Amino acid sequence: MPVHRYVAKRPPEQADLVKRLAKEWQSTNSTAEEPVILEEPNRQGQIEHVYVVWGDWAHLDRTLRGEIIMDAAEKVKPKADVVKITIAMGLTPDEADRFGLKWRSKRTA
Amino acid sequence: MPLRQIVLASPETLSDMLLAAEDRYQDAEELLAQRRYDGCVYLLGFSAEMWLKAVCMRLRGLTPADLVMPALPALRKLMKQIAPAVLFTDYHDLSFYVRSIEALRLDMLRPLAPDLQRELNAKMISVLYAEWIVDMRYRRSGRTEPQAWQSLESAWWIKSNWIQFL
Repeated sequence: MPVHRYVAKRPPEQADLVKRLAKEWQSTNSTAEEPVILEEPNRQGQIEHVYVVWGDWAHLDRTLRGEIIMDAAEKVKPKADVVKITIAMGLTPDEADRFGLKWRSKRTA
Repeated sequence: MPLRQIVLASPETLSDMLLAAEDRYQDAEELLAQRRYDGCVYLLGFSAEMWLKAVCMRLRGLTPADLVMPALPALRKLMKQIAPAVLFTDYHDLSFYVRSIEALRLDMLRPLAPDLQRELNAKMISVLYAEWIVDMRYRRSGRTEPQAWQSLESAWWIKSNWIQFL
């Protein structure tokens, strides 16, 4: 009986979200309303917390959103910086407002 | 306000999780006294999971006010870098958190003392990892009184000793 290696793949939608987020993260002159990416540095200036506000992932649970952020981070940052991230929080605009995240003002700052 | 709304509106902090770990442990003790062994083991697994997660979070420098859920994918990504051979099945995987503690301590150039590492593996892997899986919620698992006592003893051990891993 032939044996084939089966590699489980993530849903295509998740890969698409990672790709779109990474593209936005790398963009220096984006005019898109979302996703909004907030990087919070520690005292040494290293990015430790990342918050992403995005309506497109409202149907995904928070852990999955966190995985998408970390996968996107891996595409746009050096590995040494990725492993310093300790919090990767994905929120919808409504959740971000309830959470008290000042994301709207950051966007226009 | 309905509980669902409360939980969604206020994500759990490390401090919340530690309180919940104590509560689930005490609930498990009550169930053991009532001879509800499946339920007892079910809750003990969650309490142990929370203490192991707390150790991982503290070793990563997170504070009691930091959020739990957004810290887990970041831990997973770090583990892929510093211990790529460690398997990850899901975020309830006790074995993953035990291996994470070992790897994090090693990465900090503070490897676990052999006695502590041996005890960690004996209590968390040989007993609780073997006896508990989150999927047990979908069945009657027929745990016996000795099995429930053994799980309780292991969960009590991590409840009493998690601070030692920091």
